Amino acid sequence: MIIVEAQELKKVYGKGENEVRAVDGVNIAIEKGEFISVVGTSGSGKSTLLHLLGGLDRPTKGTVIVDGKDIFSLKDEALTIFRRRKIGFVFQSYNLVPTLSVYENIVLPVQLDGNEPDASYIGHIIEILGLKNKLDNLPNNLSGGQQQRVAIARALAAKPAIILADEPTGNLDSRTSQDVIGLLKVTSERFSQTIVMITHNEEIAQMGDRILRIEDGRLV
Amino acid sequence: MKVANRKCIRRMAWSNLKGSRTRNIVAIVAIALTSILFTVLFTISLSVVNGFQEAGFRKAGTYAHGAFVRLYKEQYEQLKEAPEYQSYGARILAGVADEKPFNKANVEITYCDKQVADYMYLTTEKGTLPKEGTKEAAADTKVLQLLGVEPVIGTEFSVSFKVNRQEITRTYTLSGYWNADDLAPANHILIPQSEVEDLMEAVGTTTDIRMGQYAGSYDLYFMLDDSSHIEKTEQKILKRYGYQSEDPRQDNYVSKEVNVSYALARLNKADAESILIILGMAALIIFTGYLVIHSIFRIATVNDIQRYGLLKTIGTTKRQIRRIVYMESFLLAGVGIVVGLVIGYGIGALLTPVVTKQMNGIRMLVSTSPLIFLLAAVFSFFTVLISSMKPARIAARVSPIEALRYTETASVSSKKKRKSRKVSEYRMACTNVGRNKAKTVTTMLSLTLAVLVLNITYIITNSFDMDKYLKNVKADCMVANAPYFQASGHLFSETNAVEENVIKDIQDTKLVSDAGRTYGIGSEQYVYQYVPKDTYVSSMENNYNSQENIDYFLEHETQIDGRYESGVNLYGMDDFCLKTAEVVEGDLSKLKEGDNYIAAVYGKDDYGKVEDSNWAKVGDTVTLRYANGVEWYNPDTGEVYSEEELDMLPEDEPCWERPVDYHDVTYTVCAAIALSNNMTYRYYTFDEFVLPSSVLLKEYPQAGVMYYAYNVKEGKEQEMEDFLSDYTTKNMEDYDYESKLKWMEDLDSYKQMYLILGSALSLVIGIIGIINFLNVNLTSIFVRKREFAILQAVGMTGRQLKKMLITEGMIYAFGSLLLALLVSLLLEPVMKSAVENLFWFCTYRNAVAPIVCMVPVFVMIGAGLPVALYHFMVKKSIVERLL
Repeated sequence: MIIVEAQELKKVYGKGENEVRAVDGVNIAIEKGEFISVVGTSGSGKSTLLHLLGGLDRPTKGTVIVDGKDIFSLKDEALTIFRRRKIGFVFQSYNLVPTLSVYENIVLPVQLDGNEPDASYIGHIIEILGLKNKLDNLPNNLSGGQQQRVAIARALAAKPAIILADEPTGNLDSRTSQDVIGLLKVTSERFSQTIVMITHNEEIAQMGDRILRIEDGRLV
Repeated sequence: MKVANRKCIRRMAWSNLKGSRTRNIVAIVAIALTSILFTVLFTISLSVVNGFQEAGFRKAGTYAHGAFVRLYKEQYEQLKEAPEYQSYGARILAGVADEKPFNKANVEITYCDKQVADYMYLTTEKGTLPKEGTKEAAADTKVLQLLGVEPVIGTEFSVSFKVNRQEITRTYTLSGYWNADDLAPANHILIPQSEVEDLMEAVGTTTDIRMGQYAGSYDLYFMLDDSSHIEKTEQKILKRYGYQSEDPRQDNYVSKEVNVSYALARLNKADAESILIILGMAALIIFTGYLVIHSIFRIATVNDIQRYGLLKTIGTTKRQIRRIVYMESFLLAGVGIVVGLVIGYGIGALLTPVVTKQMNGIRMLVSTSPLIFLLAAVFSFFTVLISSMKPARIAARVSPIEALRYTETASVSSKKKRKSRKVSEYRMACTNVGRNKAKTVTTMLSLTLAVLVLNITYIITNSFDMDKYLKNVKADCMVANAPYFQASGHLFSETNAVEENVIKDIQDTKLVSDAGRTYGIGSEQYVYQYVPKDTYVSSMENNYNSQENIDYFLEHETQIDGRYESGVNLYGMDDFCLKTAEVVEGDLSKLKEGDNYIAAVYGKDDYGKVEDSNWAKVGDTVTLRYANGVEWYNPDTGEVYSEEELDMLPEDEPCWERPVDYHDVTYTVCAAIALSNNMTYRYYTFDEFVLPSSVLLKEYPQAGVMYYAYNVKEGKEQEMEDFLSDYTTKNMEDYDYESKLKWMEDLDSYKQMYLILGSALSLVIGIIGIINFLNVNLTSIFVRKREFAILQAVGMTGRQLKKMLITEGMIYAFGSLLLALLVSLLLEPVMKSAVENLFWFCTYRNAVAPIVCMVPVFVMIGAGLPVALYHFMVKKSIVERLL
């Protein structure tokens, strides 16, 4: 089953001489349960692609269909709601809310949706990610690896259709990186999650089921 | 080690400033507002002080520091050479006019040089001072009016006056005139010096100071460099030229005058209550200014902390960083204070009349003293200085490593843990507001202050109690000769008695329902009482007499039955007036029973407490001596002086007056009463007694009507008011009146003054509070830009985000309102006693209405500002903000 599909996706910044084609006619289809690595040099357009797939940015042209829905047909507010239900994000710089505890950060997308979190499911994720003793901590008191594990838990919490990870190991040392990616892979397999992960680390990219290479906004 | 790095530091501060335009504008506006408040405060205060001082000068007739008066020409020529004067001038007396039409005025015919004319406010509005060698004269409008002369330059007029007691009539050409000043002690006709000599020749007199022939004598008026030691300087000058001012019997005696207004003004300045109020206001302004300026600088410093860390890394010392922060503050302060001084002086000039309008006899004059700007600048600068101290310390203390991590959040959440609960936009808002408690509280306080000031203003004005204010007003209207109502110490004089035709005019309006006259004894009429020795001695002591003097008086004073002669403030009251008296003790109705009862008057303070202010108690006997005249005698020798002898009497000869052609009546005190302040002589010289008017007139028919008091028929008050105001300005200009309606207007305008000042103050403080709130919000949303992007990325909708921001704003809004409510409730007991002690006519009424009224305003600010900022923020996409 195809869970995410992008057709003729284009994102152009600037005009005339300053025109930058960050994403230039990308077509992708991602199967449910796939773990895809996207690699490319910096400035190749991989982050823009990820933002477009996750509906954080709107394309100049083309469509993205997530779980059967053309996400750019949605207005901003509806898109935000769709995002918190169907898309999980993991960022390079963790992006946790500094004033909320670890647990609050994890269940934030669920509670923003006005729902009670599925306790056993959340408990399970926490267990796997080894965050059990840290739940009442504030993010500033965690190590980078721990913070990123919280971010992964948050991405999983709403049982989204797809998790988009933008250089999740970019700020971590190699040892911790291996751990975090391992956990990402384990949990996605356990809960049959679909993952698209950007990295420029070939070794980490190899952990994916499939590797997409992007150059000058095009898949190669 | 001293390194020449100032320039570098200055350049660094300057480049910093250029980099943060918004912060600069906000800071300058805040500093300017603070400086506006100070400038307004000092403009008004100094204008009022100046106003009082000027009123003092006008009452003294001059603003010159002092004078040597009644000098011979040679003495003048000698004394004018003293180097102490900053400026000086001469005035030569020619004559005085006190016969009709000047019987109610005090007119002096003199030569004044330009300098003295200026000292004495005799500057011509039209025309010029008289030219030498001509028959020109200049005069004030009052003189011209009394002479019946139109104020037209070139008009000829005749005037009769006395030169050394010899009558002479002269015709002059009017060369110039100026407006007469009601407060001035005398009215003036100015003539050329040549005319003075001419006049003396014409009547054949010479100047002889010891014989009281003052025509042709010089007065030397002067200003010194400094007003603080006028008398000492005068003594020094006199001594240098071999004169003295102590013993008039010596030949080298010179009489000196000191303008007491300078000393009084200094006393006024030291008036503890006013100083306290001004200091309190200054403290409030410092606090207000500190809250906002400190907050702005602190936020700016924290935002710049990485840069300071970097500076530290590359070797900038703590001192240097502190200096950079101070330098930035001071540069901003420089601009803000100058702007504030200019705007503040404008506002102060607008508000000063609002204040001075409430003060009797003060002419509206906005002070131009440089002290205003100096004080305002110093206080504003002080506020900026204390506001920069903490930010400078923060910047100086930061370690280069920490600087990178130092953000508003990290710096304050010393908490490691947080109990997890359900997340909602409301709870997140609470958490956000609680991130930096100190900042939150100061922001709230800043908003609270404005509401508090507004509320206090409202409470004060709402506590103004018309009934209490009018409690002394026992009659709807009182009509009397104008001086009766003036607070300038005019004694009641028989020439100022209310004339019967005036009373008839009032009665003819048919608006009067009930009325009565009160008769008084004029200053040239002679009624005496005989008081016990203790009373006599203590009144002498009150006048600062030496023991030697007192003994002398006790020995020589006329006595009856061991009681000593003293003046008396005696009233003869019609029933209408008598009924307004409050009986403290005894039975007032006995007054009617026979001619031999009298009531003793006791004073009451503003708070209604009766003071022990009369020697005569109920049951005592009081002897009054009604005299038709007095004679002058020497108490040592018993020699009686004739009129001529009296005129030529040397100043140091003892000369007492005693009644002649008199009869004595003895009364029994039947009641102790208190008169409302309005119904009295309005000055206190001797113990006071009241007789029914019929009884007084029987003994002393020449007593004049001091005032005519009456009630007006219901609903006709305004009609009567119109009649009186017209009557006293057009028909009978010498008369004036007081009415309940006027008193009510008085209180209303007093109330208005407080409302205007209080509202203006709370408006400015409010703007400061809002600026603080705006700045805190702006920076807090700016700092959290990324955090909001995260929240939106993980699924917080714009609506939810806005709800969160509005909730934060509401916490500030309602927090500050609740704080205001709490503080005003806590302050209630203090406020109550302060309000009722400060204003005797206040009945404390607590109120929270202004706080409640502020709810919609605060809701609008609390919700509107964050939402506006939100819309500004979301112009950038989430992705842009995430980076």
